[in-house]
Amino acid sequence: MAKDVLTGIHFLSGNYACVEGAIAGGCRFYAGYPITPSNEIAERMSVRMPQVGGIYIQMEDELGSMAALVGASWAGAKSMSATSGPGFSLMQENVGLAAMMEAPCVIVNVMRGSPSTGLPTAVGQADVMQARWGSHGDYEIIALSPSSPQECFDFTIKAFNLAERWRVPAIVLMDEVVGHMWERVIIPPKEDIKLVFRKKPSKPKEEFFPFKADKDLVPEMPIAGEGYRFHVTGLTHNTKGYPDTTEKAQAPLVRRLVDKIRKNAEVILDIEEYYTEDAEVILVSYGISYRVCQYVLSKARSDGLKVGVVKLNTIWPFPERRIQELAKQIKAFVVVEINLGQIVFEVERVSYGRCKTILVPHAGGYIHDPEDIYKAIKKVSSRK
Amino acid sequence: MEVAKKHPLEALIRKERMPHILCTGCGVGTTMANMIEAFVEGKFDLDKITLVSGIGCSGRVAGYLKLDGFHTTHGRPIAFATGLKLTNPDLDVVVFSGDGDLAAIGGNHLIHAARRNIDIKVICINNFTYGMTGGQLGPTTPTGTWSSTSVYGNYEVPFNLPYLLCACGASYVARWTSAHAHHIKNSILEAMHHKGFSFIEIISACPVYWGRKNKLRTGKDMVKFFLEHTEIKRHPEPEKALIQMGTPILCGVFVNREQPDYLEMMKAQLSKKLGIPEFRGDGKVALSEEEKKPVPETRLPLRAHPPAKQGEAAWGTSGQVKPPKKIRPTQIKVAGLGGQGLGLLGLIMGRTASIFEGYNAVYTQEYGPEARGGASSSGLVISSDAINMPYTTEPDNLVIMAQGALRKYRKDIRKDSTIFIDKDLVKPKDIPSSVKIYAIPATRTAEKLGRAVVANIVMLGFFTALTPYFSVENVEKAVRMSVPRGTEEFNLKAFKAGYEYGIGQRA
Repeated sequence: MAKDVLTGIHFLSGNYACVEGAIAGGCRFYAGYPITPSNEIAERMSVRMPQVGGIYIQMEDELGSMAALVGASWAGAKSMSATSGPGFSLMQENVGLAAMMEAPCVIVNVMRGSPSTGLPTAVGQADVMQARWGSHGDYEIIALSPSSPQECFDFTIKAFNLAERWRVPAIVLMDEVVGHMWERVIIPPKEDIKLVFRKKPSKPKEEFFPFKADKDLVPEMPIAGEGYRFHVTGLTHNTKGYPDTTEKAQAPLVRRLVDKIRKNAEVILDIEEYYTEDAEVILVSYGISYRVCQYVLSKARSDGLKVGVVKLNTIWPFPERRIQELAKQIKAFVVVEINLGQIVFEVERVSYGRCKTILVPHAGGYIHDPEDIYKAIKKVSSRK
Repeated sequence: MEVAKKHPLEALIRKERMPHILCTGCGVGTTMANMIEAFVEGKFDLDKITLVSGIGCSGRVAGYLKLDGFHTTHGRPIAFATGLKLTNPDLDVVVFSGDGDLAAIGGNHLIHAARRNIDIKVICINNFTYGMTGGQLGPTTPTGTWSSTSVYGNYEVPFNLPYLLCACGASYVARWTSAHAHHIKNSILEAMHHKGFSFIEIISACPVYWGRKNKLRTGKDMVKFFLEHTEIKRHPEPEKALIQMGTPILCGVFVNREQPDYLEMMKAQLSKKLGIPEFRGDGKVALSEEEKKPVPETRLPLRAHPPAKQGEAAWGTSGQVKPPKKIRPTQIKVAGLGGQGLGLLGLIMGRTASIFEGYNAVYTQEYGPEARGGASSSGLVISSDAINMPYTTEPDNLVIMAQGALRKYRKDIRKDSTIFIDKDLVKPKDIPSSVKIYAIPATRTAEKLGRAVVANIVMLGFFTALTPYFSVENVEKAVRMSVPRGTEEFNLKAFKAGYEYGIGQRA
């Protein structure tokens, strides 16, 4: 039998590393539908999942895959699917179901050129806003963006832990370049990987309210088959879980679903900063674009430009407080993303006009030309 | 006679949610009552019964019963139920929904779950309409009849659900009407005991919409109609089950056969090969720590190099393996045709560089849609510093194994590049004289050794001899780790042949 944690030094693609991260993170249920450029995830899952006694099922479409993930979660599984833009669009209704039912699950979106069928084999980063607002209604999710195969491994484990802790769907926003590039991945010993499981009911069955939250705004979660005889619905519901389709029930429920993440954002989000202490211009980026920014950063610093970079490991929740702080110290943010403007709007919004916000866009199909980023930095540096 | 003070099935009903929303005469209520009677009579573990419903009047049933219940999105209860059942096979998963939810928007999940013989029981209330939204037509509305969106008479042909389900491979299919309460209960009992996908269609005209507008104004009229216009057969033929006004409704058990369900199929195919006794999604399958059986060979890279021991170069999750010597970012491009093993070549080089030499290395691939024969290239960037730009846009070295690849990538050759070609397959044309060219009959050498498929490894040996990046020892370790088990020695022979040819070419 194969082990679930392949401790050792590997050379893996981002997609393959993501699978190892999922299994090391405790995933034992995968339901998905093939779509480029995520196919390698499904393929490796179909081999590895049975090796650890888990379930790999290739559902008939992405709608069924997402529904199966929510069902599996309620039976106690750490469940996952992988897709790309067109499939991610199909999954949105049940992402909303997962958010409403507060069912932990992980969705990997290996972003490609878009919109619509777009560029199946080439990179894009234009699903960022969709990850946040894709399903109808007010709700919050957590999204992470790896920039290397090692991070695909690490962040997938993290996605499972965050999903379980906060009872939300967690999205791993990879992009085609990171998914298909191969790099060294170090998988640590099993005992070094800390895993989180959802809060279990602590009250006797008769007194247990499935949607009564603790102070952290997260309720304890029962599992089907253990005698709690609970009811869960996608309709607006009360703390007992029963449908309560009134204005009176709507506000506290939806408010809590949203505050669960917004009020706990500081402990959820994860960003890295380099050379920001004395920076006049700060690059903001994620995924493969972050690495292109690092390339430009070295060149710019050696040319005497005071540039720093913020790496968004979590894209959602967005690091509002830190960006707001940095905005007071600098001339401009330069946001680098492979789309025509998505995260730039968040940067601009929370800067409250205290500094400029410049976008270096790219419609998709390839990574940025470092020259374009460098030119943008130079241009805004030379202004007063 | 004493009047009962409590409803006999009260223990299973959420009293605080009564009264329910169902109308007088509606078959949903009849079926719900018979279902819980079946649960009690069959002495099932009620904690293990999980109810999944969709959207519609029938979808509300899960909320009225004191069982673990899920009121899901429109069309998706079967997919949701699949997730539940495969995660915890000890659950008894029952889907309770309607004709529109299961056969229109949910049609795809219906036919695939039946095909897979997933062990769930599906109770389909067929009231010929979308009741909750106001009586619109659905995929089971009989031809010629009224609905709120077919006021002149329906001009579609409805599904013959028993026929559909039998064709999809369901192993238990039955149909009754809501007038046949006793049969409903027995069928549900049969289905609960059956292992495999079970489908029970309950015909029950919506008394407020379809029923009322099609001359079945009250529940009493409907029951009378059903009792007079139903044909119950012992072996009803599915192809004769289409519902048409003027012909009797064919009822009975259409199919009831033993057939391995999805999980049994999984076990049959996989358990012996993998040494795993069962499969479930809740992680409750114990894994033994030691490898009793070697992992079955696949083309996936599954083997890793064991981690550093105490005292060796420290490593952590961010991957700090100390590189042996300084090397500036170097780009190596490998190009040829799909099928020449260039993917494996890149993997071996990448493993050599990043695992054994300790460089940072990034490997990327580029290929067309053809499975064989299309131009394919891959690139490896190696450096002792962090690598940021992943692609080989200005290669220092190119390995070219096909003429078509040379044509395609000639523009990337720099004046100080070094190129390595297969002598027989590539004629160097229009290449600047400043470019150093090394040639080896790699494919011919491989054929002479016994198999042309190792031409890529021959080329690897050639490349190793003529470049300063990799040591022979490290490449051999990477080769051992990367080729199919049992072929290591043959591949190392091919490597050696290419290497020695390369030594002979050293200026």
